[in-house]
Amino acid sequence: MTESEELHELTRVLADCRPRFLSYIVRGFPRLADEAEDLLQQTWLEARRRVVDEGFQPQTTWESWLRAVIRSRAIDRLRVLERQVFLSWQGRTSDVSGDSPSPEPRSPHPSPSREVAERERRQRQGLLLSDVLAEFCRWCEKKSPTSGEPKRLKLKEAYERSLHGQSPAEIAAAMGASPDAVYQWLHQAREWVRQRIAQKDIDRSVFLTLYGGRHDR
Amino acid sequence: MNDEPKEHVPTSPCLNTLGDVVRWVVDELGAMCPSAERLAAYWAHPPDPGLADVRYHVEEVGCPICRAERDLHRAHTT
Repeated sequence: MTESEELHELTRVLADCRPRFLSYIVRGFPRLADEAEDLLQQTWLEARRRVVDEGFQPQTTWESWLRAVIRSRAIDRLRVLERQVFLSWQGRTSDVSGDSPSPEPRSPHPSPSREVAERERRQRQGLLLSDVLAEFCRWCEKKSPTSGEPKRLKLKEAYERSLHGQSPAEIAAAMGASPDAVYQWLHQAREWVRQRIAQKDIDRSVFLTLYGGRHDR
Repeated sequence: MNDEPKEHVPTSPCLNTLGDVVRWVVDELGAMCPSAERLAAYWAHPPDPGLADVRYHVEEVGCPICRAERDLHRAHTT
């Protein structure tokens, strides 16, 4: 297909799918309902840019590709809010705790080294909670090299149940497992998440400070 | 469709504790959603015992994102 034909096809598909895509955004991401049209516009512009700049053609269909991009961009918008929350908490806890003692004298303006440290800290907070949990899910779904089957799906289900407020006894009953097994799964899941955070060296952020307490429901 | 989109700021959720954030990222950001491949496998064969975690996520939790994907998928195939 030529670039012009590809753009024509993209525009046609988006026009055909528009009602379905709008409904998808409103139902899947109700907080973005007022932005559904804007999100479609953003997606169309991104697709158009890729066709023009890169000669892009979707591997499957334009509809599948557009849906995946809509989902990603919707989550991107919501994650801006998530990031803002962590940054505001960081400010709050810094104000309260004063952080660790610093050899630098207090000044109304942060020193260059402080600014650099703060910038790095904020960058590290790019690893947000949703990242860690999504990574945890992919880890659980990873197939075993020997059997080809995912091994940790029970762990994933038990953890999700706990995040939704179920007690270990309720999880055991729902999953037909022993309470001991559930305790082990939950411990393993929480430990995985905790270690993942520690590996990313965000131990001075508000994230781990709060995670040191209880993070489940 | 040729104009640049305006910058919109979504309504902020009320998040006062880390528990609130956990609930929010699970409920609205799809943090615990299964992979696209496993979700598609579930639509194709819901009783599959290897997809019990997806069944819980979609049917019991009622993940709005995965359900919206299903509706989109159905609308596409019918």
